Amino acid sequence: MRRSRLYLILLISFLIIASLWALYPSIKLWSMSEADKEEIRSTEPQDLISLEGKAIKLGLDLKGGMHVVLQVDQSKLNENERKDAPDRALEIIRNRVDQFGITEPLIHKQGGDRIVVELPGLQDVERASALIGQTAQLEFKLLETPENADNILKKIDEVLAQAETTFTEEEGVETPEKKEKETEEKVVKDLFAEEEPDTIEDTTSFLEEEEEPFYEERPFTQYLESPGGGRTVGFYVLAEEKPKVELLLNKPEVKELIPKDDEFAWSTRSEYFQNQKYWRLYLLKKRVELSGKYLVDARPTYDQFRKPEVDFTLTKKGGRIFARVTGANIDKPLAITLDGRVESAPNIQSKIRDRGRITMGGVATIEDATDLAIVLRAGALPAPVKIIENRIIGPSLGQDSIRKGTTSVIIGFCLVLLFMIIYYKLSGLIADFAVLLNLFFLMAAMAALRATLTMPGIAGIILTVGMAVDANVLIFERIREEMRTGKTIRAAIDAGYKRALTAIIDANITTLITAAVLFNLGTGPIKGFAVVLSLGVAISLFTAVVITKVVFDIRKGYRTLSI
Amino acid sequence: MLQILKKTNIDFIGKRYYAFAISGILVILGLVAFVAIFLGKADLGIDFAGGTMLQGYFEKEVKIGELRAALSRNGYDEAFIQSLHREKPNYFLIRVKATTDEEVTQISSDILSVLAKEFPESKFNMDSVDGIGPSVGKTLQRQARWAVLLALAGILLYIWIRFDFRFGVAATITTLHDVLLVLGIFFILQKDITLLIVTALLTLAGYSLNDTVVLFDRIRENLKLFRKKGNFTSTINASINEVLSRTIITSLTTFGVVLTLFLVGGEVVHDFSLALMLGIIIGTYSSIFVASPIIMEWEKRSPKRFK
Repeated sequence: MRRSRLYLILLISFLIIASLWALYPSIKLWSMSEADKEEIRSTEPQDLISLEGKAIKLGLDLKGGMHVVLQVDQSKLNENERKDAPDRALEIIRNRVDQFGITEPLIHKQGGDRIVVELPGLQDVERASALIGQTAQLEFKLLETPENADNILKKIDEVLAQAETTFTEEEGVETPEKKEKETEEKVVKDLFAEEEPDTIEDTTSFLEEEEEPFYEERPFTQYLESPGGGRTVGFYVLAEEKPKVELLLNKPEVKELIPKDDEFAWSTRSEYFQNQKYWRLYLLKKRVELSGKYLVDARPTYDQFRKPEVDFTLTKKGGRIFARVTGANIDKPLAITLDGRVESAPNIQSKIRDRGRITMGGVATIEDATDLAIVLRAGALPAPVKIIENRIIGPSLGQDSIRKGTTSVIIGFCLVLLFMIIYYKLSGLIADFAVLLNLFFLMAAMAALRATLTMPGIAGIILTVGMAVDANVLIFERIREEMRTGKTIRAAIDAGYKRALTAIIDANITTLITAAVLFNLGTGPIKGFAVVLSLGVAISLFTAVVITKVVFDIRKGYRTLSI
Repeated sequence: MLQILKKTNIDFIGKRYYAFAISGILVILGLVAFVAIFLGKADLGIDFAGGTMLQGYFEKEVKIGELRAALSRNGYDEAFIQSLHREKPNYFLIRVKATTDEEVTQISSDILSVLAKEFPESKFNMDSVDGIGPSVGKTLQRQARWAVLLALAGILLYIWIRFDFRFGVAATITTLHDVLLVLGIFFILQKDITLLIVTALLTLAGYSLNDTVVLFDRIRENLKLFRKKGNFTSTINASINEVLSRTIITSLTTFGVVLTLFLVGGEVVHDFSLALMLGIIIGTYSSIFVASPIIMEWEKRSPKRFK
């Protein structure tokens, strides 16, 4: 008996030391002030990272950050490509995130074709979404010649005008309004024309013809403008009119008019003229002259006007193709498209081989250039992805949750401790000690298992405290009962522990079953709850039964029992 | 010795018909809620239904009516708006249902620009966004359904192994009863059924079973003792009375901590702790007034132990 008790005490001491060891990094990290952390970050960043790695991890709901789930669209892939598309997409996204420089990102696959990306503490949400969500398919395409383009536009106008005359009566209300707008635009255009005389070649475009055709004949091209005057590469469309143009372009009768090897494409970024926001619409040749797969490197830089752009390097083979394409099309615009949208369409000035630059249209920033370079370096995704879940937790909300969670744990804990002491006296104090140890071991286990603490997890801690005393209540009530039947203290304690044990184990196993099921139910916060609950319940078996028994075994010799 | 209860001798079983009536009504309500959830009529949270939820505060005063009007002017007339002034002044939660996955990310940025446009002199500071595509919601619904079934099956299996068939059935009915009751109450209160609520329901299933198991354990122990003398009903009554103080103390401590969570834990765990509090009360009630009477009625109809 004495010997086994000695072993038990040794085991408990060992567990306490091991727990202290496991918890040390967390305690050290949490007791550090922000200023201290900053100092270490600047002097010994590696130390801080390894400390953070060893401490209890906080879930995104406590730390703040961004949680995105992407669905890989495999509908256009063949059987073979389908097999590893999600894995390849995951690798590429990981690459992009790493290059973006976020500490401790968490990227993993979920259920076959979904990818979960967790970025802690990130601020610029739009930028991050764009970075991970775009396919980044880079393509170089030639533009349709101005003559052909005009012809196609003319035909579209004709077809739409025909269709419209049959509807005039229905749309009669709208027409005068539109007309008014049309004349306004004309005035604006004329003003421009005076200020900036046409400088670019080819002014014969019918868009600038002296005599404006009557409105009904131009249902489509009325939206296409050239605010800078003269012929531009691509047509400018006022931002608020973009949806109308898209609608027209989607009409089946319009689609029929677009030649099979041509396509319309919008610009990536909008531009401003005279405080008006414009998008550019391009008519491209569908043929892909060169694609991003020949790219070996891409770096953001500035051009001589301090406008951001991206320099790229091609493989040998890519260089040969590019030289051929550019050599044959000098003085013509070449469109650079990313995921079907035109970054820019600069004129080819000379033959380009394996080094080129992507100028960026519109109001591009250096961040845009940096991100473009990142996605180009990491490569295109094997299939498009779409964001199907997106959660953002602000850092202040996380801080708030931590504060409230800790307060609840402390208050709840004190309530239970106080109640047990008042109700069970010295025995209650022993039970309290057991609950304290339970909490201590629980946190140590969380740290050792690299588990993540979430807000529901904190709720789990509170629940564990409430339930952990249950085992002691069961035992104490049983001891009281046994004493009431006139048993000696020694016999009452023995019977109390023995008889209460089955009930305790049964009760805890049912909780463990639910926790195990919850662990498999989806999301992080819930998993956090399940982990805490199952660990807490399992540990309570040890602290509330085994450890208190050691103390009660000593108390068996007492003449009276404070219970 | 401080005692909440002196040695009691209450005839719990005798009051079973009142209990059956109350429970019966509430269970029907719970079943209605359950069917409603399956038919998609209940208020499913966005994690099951799909949608976007924004949380944040305005820097200057904005009334909930102004916010509602501003949103409906911009096409969000079905947005659900809740004031969270308990947390912070001018703190709001805006929830919009989405029908496609693509919408989900658009809605949040769109609402933010609407708020910036409509309240130019009071900046809206976003605290959190939850955008969940309907397809994710469907997956979660399926997972949650499986989780509920699995948890119940696992618990059942364990009880059947540990006890006998009758106890197993009684414990299962009691557990289902508790879960349905809380679900029913949430349905009446028009609370959203979220993933966290499902978690609470499963947790309280485990907790309520815990209570029932402790009681059954004692009934079984006493049945062995009294096999020769006493009758079945009085054995059960005696067992309930014996474990009563334990039941109440454990319920009190657990209720106390969950109440703390409810009061200070903040918005995230508010409904979660409400569900748990209801579950603790109902679980305590049901182990006494539902589980035990089932065993008793069964024995009365087809005697097995006292022939």
